[in-house]
Amino acid sequence: MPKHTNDRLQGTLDLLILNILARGGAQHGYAIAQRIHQATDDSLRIEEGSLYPALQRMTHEKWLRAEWGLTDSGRKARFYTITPAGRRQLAEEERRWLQLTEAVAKALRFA
Amino acid sequence: MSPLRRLWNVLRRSRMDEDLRQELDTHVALIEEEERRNGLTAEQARRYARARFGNALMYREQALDAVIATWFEDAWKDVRFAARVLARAPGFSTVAVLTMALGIGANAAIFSVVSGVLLRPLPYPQSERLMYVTTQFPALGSAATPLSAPEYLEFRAVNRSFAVIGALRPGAGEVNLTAPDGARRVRSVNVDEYLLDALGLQPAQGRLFARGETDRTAPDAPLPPLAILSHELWQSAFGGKPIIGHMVEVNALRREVIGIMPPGADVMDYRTEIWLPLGLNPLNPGDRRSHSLRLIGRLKDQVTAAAAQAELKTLNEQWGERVGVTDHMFAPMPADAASRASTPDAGHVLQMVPLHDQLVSGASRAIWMLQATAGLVLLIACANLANLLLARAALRHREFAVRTALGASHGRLLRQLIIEGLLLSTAGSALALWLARFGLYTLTRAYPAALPRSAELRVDLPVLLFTCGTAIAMGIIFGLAQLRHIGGKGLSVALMEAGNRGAVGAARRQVRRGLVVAEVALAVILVIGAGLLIRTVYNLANVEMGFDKSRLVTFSISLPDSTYPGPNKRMQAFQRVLDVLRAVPGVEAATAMYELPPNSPALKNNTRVAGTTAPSPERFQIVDYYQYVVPGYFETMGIPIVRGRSFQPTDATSSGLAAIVNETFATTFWTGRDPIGQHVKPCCNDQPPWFTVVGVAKDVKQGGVERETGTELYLLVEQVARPVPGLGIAPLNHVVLRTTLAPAALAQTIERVVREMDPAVPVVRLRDIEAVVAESIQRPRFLAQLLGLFAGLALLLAAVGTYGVVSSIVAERRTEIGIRMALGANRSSVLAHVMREGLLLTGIGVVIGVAGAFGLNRLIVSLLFGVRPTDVLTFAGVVATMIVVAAVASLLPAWRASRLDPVAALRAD
Repeated sequence: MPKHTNDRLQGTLDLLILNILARGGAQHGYAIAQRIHQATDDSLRIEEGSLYPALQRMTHEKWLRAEWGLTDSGRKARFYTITPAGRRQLAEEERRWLQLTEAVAKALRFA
Repeated sequence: MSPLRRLWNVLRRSRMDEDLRQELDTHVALIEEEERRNGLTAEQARRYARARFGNALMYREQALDAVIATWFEDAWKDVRFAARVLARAPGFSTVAVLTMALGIGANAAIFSVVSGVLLRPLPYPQSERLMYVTTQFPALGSAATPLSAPEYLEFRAVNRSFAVIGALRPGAGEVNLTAPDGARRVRSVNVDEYLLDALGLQPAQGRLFARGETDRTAPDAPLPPLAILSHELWQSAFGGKPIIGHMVEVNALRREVIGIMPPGADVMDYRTEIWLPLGLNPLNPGDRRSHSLRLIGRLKDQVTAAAAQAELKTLNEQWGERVGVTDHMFAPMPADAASRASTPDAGHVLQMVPLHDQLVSGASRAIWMLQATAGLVLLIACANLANLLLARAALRHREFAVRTALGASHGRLLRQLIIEGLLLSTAGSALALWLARFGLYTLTRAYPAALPRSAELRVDLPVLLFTCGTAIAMGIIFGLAQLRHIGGKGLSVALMEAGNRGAVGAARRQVRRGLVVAEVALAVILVIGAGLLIRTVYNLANVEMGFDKSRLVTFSISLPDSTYPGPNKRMQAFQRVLDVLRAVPGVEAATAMYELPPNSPALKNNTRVAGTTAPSPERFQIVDYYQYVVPGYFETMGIPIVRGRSFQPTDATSSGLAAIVNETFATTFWTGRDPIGQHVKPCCNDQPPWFTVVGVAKDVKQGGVERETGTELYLLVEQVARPVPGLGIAPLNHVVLRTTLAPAALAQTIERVVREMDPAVPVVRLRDIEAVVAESIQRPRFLAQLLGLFAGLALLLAAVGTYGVVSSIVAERRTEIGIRMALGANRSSVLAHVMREGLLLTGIGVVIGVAGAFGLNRLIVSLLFGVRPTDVLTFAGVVATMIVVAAVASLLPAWRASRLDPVAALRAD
């Protein structure tokens, strides 16, 4: 499966997930969604419909590792942690994001 | 993702599905927990969570789609779906599958021929190294003649290019074999051990001829008493029982069976049944001028064909000095005409061609023509299918628009269309392969001698690959073609169009019309080609043979020298058979002869012709055919004597030697002189006294209906058998009866008569002369029949195509026609209007097709006889046929249009 290098929207979701996991250790899907809400002051609401496919895909890409564990309330849930490959991807996605935003900003200034 | 990985995922799917369900359930539960913490009741929290989460199942599906390749599952679903779709349109599916089966089947059958005859190497090890060596006599107009024994032995001794070089004789021969179930005639070939060595043949049982075993010990010694059987003969005549070391009776002589060939082993495509020793005498090889040996050599591994060719050239130049002969030696063609005239053997050189070319080159043009025509049939079939699919695409417009609106991706639709196409082409090609096998079997049975190597023909791996390739290509192309028409426009346009019949793409209409024009044009080309070949066969079958073909029955018997030593015994045996047969009620006359026209080989014998007006009267003249007959020959055959008299029973005992010549003989050698009373001295003895010409017979097509009539010399067997002329031969092989009875009705009588004379002599080739003539033109008949079949197919497909397009024109114009009729157009004008549409398309196609035929028919000139490739009658006939077919095909939809109820037509939208 090709890496989604040119798909910005998907890339953005990947960036957010990787970032959260890089900072916060092992977390389950719900917690990741919650963290994104909080971190963006509720301005970005992640659709569960995109979140889980993204998690599956990223696990498959070996950026994440998934393990079954128990939540605080004792429910069985899959906990995701970032792998070294995931960290490299994160660095790459960050670099691209900055490039893009910079480029867009420039374009806006000169437009 | 690699396909393997996908497959793994599919297999793991159930497990992953369970994991994901669990994960999503947890997610919903966590939302619920959170909302309850925010103060909602359990019930409210759950409802909220569900609402927010939406349809859990849907998410699960999406998540799975993202990772797990459901590709295989989808494909299988698509196959089932496609099968359902096709089953719902049985008419369309049947026509499509049949069209494809006929188109691909014709090609698979013909490609089997191309592959089996032209492409597949001969069934010998390293067969590309095998060369066929002949000599030529340009002065006699002979481009490839066998070698004489001295020439062969000299060549074998001096050559450096060939690892082995061997000889065989004489061509396809025949011998009488006494098998446990009775006497039979079997195809034989006389070979030396070198030939078997050169071919690389290995025995399946026993052994082959050893060194020196095929030679005679003295010039007049009998052949070494050995024989090798073909596997097929061993099976059919001896039931496959152990036979090595046993004696069999061949031409009434006992021979030891020393070996059995493997199945299919053959040489020169003779379908050899028994291999006999060649019988050269190396110490006394005989006459340099007697040319009867065909040579096959195997090139040494490091020697190229060009190098061998160069060696032959140098050998030709110094042959005389090297072997010490001055007469009839190899001599290259001198450049200037003067020395050409003074060297009688000028241009008598050794030459070689690859054995494969020698066997198939004569048929390759015909075979490629068949492949080309089969290709045209396939093109027409494709055009027809494209037409059919486009018509269907129009109908399915709405279906695809709706599916797109419901979220089916472009790729998914494309895949489905391709799968539909592949499903059709798979069914079509399965049927096609069956058709090809059946067709090939029927063809090789009906025309065993029309093509070289026909015994080897089968639907083999290359054919299978060819068929599958064609089928897959067709399936994919049709899938793509449909999508181009469906998916080319935006969804909204598609939906709008789907609701409005009148706006359906004009482009598609143009494409469909173009396809019909192409179909008609291709069909016209094919039908004209078939027409020319059919006329060729008609012309061949109606060539003036020079004798009366009606009510003639013939059969052949061969009397072996061992039981019938000396000409008189043979003659008496034939006489006895003739006497009994003449007494059979229904038999009007009976005669015996040497060769049976039109199958006489051109002997081209050196003959002394006294008083000739030919350019060099002192030298031998070449006479094409010698025919040895008994009195009553001309009367039985119905050959008119145009001058003088025919042979009389009194000639048999008279001391005056009589000869009869044909008209061509008389005009060639005695231009402007009276042939009666002239003298000839036949080959090949300078001793015999002169024969006096007593009559001139009408020209007979001795050597084939398509050949020019040659010079013919008739001699009486009773006279050449006598010791006085010194010929001492009685070469009789064939009996001909003028009778009102059919061959089948005579069979028992003839077999009894011959059996009573000699039970070891089988009766063969009992049939009427019409069958003999038909067989002699087997290849043209084969071509005409096959091409006729293809042309018929093309015509049918073109008619179906025209019908389809005219029908859809009517369907698209319902409203327009309704308005016209409402405005007062009467039914006949509507009929004429629609018919005109159909005929216009046909007309354009016919014009293009006629132009194409003018261009292409040049390529089949060599296959035609008595008809020019631009024959006006054929062209006109085909054009007329095509127009009638198109008119019939357009008539039905036109008639339906004229029956339209204008009110209903206008209300329909």
